[in-house]
Amino acid sequence: MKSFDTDLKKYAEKMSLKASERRELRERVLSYMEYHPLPKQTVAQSERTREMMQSEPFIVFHFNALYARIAGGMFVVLLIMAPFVAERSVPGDPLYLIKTGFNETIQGQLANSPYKKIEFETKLMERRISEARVLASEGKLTQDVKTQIAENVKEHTDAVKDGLAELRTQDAEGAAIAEIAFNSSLEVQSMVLGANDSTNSTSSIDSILTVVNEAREGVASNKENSNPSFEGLMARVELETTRAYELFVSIKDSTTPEESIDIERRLSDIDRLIGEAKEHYDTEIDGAVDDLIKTLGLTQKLIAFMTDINVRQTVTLESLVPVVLSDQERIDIVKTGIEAISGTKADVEERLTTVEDAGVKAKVEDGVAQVAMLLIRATTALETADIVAAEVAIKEANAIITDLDLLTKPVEVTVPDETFVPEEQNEETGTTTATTTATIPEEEVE
Amino acid sequence: MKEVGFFTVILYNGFHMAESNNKAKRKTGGVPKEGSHEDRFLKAFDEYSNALFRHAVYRLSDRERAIEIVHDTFTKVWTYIRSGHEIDSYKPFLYKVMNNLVIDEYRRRKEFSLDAILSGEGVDEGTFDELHEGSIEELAFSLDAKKASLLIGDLPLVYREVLTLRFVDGLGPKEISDLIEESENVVSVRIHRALKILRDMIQKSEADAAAKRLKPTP
Repeated sequence: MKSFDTDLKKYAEKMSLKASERRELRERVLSYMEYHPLPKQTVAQSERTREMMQSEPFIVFHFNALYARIAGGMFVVLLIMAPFVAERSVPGDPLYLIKTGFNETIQGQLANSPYKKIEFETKLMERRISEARVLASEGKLTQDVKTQIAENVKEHTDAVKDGLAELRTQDAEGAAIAEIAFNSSLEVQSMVLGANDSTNSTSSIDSILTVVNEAREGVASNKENSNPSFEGLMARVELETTRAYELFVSIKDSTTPEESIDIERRLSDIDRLIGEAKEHYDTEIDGAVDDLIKTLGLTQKLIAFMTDINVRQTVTLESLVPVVLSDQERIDIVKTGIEAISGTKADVEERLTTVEDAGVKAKVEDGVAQVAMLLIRATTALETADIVAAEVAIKEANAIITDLDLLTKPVEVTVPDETFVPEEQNEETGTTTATTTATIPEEEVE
Repeated sequence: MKEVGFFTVILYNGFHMAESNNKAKRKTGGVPKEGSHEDRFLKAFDEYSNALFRHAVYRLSDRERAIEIVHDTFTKVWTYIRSGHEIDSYKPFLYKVMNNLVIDEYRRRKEFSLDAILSGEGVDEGTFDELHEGSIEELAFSLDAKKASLLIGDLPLVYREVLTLRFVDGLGPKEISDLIEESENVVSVRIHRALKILRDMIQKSEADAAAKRLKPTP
């Protein structure tokens, strides 16, 4: 960059006023100044202002040293240290009151627009849920605390809903965009809580999960009223993607190579989706808006994954922001599927000659014919660029061929080795344990 | 009783001081407030007229009009001073006035709609890939400055604006963002995209030249 920077500057500097041009220009400016002199008042005022300013160069404060030290110490402890330490506190800690009563009140005062207030309340909801997870992981989440946190979460989600309703009256588009952000946050929290819930046998955070899911349902039921414009959404998507890229750069050193690849893949998916939405916009505006809403949601979830370490530790990126396959990738998958199914089909047809049961043979022949038809349908759909139809056909064909494969394949059945079977188990359950295998003829399987 | 010492805190109130202006000069490229309005104004002329001219040439691709725009910039600034206003730092102020005059000039030429000038309408917004300083560095590193210098004038207006301010005038993203009233992010994105377009233009011109060379003469 430096080389380009300096080289370009060097070339640019060749472009300058000739001495004569410069002299002439200066004279023209001077003559303009002469014909339009400064009013006397301006000159005098300027002088006066300068003198006045220079007369008070310093402001002097006198302090008693002892009192100042004490006051300073208290100031540092109360206003800097305590709130700073309190940020890590959870319900039950002595400093938790400072966190919720002081820090969050101050932060709330800084949210000076309805949009910022919604963002702030969403952030508070996330913090409460995060606190619940911390307490649950430490085994300190008592029923009382859980109820209190669930109430707090509900309070914040209600505040967001109220904020959205208020914003809708002033700026419907802003409200719609804020709603998308809120919904993304709820989805992330729901997934994280769901993951915690499934790993925790006591379901300690189930009531909080219920509150979050209720809020999600509320947002989902209101989706029809949200109608953001393409331009407004595009502006928001631009901001969020820029933020996502900046975040990625900042966390790149702390991520594993696999995580980096995964995140890069999602960023490129998002770029591609934006491009597709732009193309879509020329033909169908509503479809393009839906595409952008989806893209914005994905971007916000990706940001949540990158910024919240708890989210990263609890859910996988694939479950939170699944890979969005490009058309080419989908086509490739269908083609691979066609090849694999064709191969299996050939195997099944080969084995069909050994099948003696007429009923089975008829079924298999019928299935093979269906698979052949579905493969033709998938190939034709690919030729007409109807990827969805091709995927449906290949899915059906795959289901049938899997069954046919199982039906015609010689089955390996385990034969018990009595020396390793505990006698009690044999007596109680009458089951056998496998140690050796043998092939059973198809007739027996039937 | 033990005597407790006192101490004094002196806050430097030098924001408007002559000395602080020197500091401001180092920081923002402004001129010191010493001397009369006329002295400071003429000093600003001596210091920035060439840079403003260069900027105008790159933006307008017209040397004669560039000289006129520089003249108009200084007369407008002088009129502003005459109306009793104080200018803390000349450099950003001059660039701001000139930027407005360049936009007026585009409008006068009627080549471009105002919307297109202000919002970049009709410009391919591109994608957001690799938007970080590293990628801008890499992109810039791959460019030939001489060819880039010749092709800047062919860029869409919004990109011509940021590239001229960044590479010809040597302003940082923060200064550019203040000047064109866009966020630093938007400025960075535009620089990145402008460099990409410039790279494509250079590659295309090279390919055209190569094709021309290979074309058999009749």
